[in-house]
Amino acid sequence: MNRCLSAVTLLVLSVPVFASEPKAFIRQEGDRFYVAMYAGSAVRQGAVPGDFQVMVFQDGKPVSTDIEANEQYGADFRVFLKPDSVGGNFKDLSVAVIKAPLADGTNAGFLVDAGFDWTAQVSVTAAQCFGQPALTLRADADGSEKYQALRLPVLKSAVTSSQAEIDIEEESAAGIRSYTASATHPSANPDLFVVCETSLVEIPKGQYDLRLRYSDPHVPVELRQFMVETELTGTGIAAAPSEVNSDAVTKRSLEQNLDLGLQFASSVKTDTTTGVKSRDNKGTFDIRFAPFLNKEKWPSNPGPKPLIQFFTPFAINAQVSTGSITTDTLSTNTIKLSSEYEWRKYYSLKTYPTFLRYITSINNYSDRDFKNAEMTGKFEFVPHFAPLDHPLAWRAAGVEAHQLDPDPDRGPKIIGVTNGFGYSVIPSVSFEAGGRYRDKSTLAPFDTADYVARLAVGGTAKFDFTSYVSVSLQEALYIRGESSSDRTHNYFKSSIEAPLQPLLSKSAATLFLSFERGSLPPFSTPDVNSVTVGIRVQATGWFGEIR
Amino acid sequence: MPTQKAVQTFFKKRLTTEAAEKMNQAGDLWNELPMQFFFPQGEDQVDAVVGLVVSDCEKADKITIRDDIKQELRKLVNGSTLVKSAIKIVWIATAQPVEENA
Repeated sequence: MNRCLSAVTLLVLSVPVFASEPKAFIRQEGDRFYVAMYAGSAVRQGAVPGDFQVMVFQDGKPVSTDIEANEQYGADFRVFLKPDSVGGNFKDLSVAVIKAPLADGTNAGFLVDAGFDWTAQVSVTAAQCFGQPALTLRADADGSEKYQALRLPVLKSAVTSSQAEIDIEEESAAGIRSYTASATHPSANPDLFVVCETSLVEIPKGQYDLRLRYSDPHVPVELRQFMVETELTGTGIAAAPSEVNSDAVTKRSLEQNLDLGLQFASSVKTDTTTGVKSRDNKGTFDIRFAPFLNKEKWPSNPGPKPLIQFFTPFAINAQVSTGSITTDTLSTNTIKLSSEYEWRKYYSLKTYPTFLRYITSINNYSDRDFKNAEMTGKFEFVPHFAPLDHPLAWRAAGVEAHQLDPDPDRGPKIIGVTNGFGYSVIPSVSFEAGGRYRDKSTLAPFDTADYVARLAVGGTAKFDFTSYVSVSLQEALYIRGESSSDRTHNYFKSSIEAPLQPLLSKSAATLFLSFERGSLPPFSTPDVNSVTVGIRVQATGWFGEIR
Repeated sequence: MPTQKAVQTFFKKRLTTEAAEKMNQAGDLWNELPMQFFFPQGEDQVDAVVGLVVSDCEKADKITIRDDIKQELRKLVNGSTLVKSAIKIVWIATAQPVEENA
């Protein structure tokens, strides 16, 4: 038994003890700066600078060989730095130790990057800062606790007394915007210090990069770190989507298959004869939903003028309001269920393309209460002519390399156009025929014909007056074969939109004024005639990246 | 099998033909930009231009790329794909099997 134990003990004792990894920390002592070196194994007692062969590099350029064999916070030796020789920023420093004498008589050699006992980072996710940039100083677990404890009050004092500069580089704008920030809401514990750098910074549009820096050249060395956060999300998109449904022309991504609008209005009416007050609440609900992704079919060799086929198995387009359907309704109160097959023929693939859409569909139209319903087969022709289709958003003012992000693999940024005139005019003509299978409404002039045959001529137009104001129009004139008393029927919708500065990041807001008049198939509800003023807000990131 | 350089040349030719104004704006950075910079209207044009480049590769090297691979290419390259990545994807997709002793 004892022999067995001895064998185990011998085995354990014979396992070699691995040294820890070499480390290097940039430290400050009064006006002097140095790199504290931890060799990973004990350095020989009494070693003198001449026993070492060490060089500090910045971006591959040698900057110091000034060694001292002692350091008061537990490092094995240190290499002094002159701020002038490192450009004042202590960035990208690495230390090459060619020879360091160890206690066991051997020499160590290694290459290590220099870090900080307190690592500084900028972020926009600190809870107490509500989306404003925050400076976070985190104690490195491998650093010296004694040095960290000594530096924390120094850092706190410097952060609260020095003005920080916030640089913002938007992905879609030229150059960098800079703001002065002041430190607020500091919170600290022994290994974490967070402070909000509050400024009047506008929420950046789209993706952006952020840098925090201190212009005071005498701030502690920890605050001279390179503090950049890249590819952050500002406003979700430059502007919320257009009021008029332009029916996304191309294959739609998942997030674009659902478009939901809600509206609620409440008012108090006073009866002029009785003086009795009553509250009137109304809401509208507008949804376009294609739950299945479009299926598309390409020819084997499409060539420069491809014909592409699309199939949307099921889609719903509903515009309904609450309460009883009366003459002062706020919505057309129609529900359209459809299944579509489309042939799309391209005649030009250029940036502003020309293509024709031929759409066949089976549709079920009904009013909100299903009192009237009809089923039709429809053919629609929607030409897109390049000379009529030049939206402002398709233009770019230029292309520019990123300035804040040092990553050479990141592509350039595309500068958007803000001034100028854009336009998009898309005509359409359609014919549909079918039958009415439910007929119980008495609200609108309605013929007793069981068949449906109608021609619709119209289209959509959108005009961009700079990127800040746009006007969109939708018009459809229906010539109704099924009705002798209501032979023509018109539907018109227009809106003026102006993007607003959103209150929250990852969102977009648009102020809109829209006017809607007329009705839609099956024309069984009273014509809508409404003016709507509102703010449309769209937020990203509800389900990860899905909007 | 075309070289990556040849695929790049085909892309440059097609983009210059179909999006000349955007190519002028892009300058030397043309292959660092996403496809939607050249074709902001949507995915159709991106898919069609990639198809034309594949067709150029087929003609130049007298090869035939299978339809299912072309379909995969349309899924892999979209508006947000950088041109340089699209070049690599097409180059890899047009790789042909080579006999062991060839």
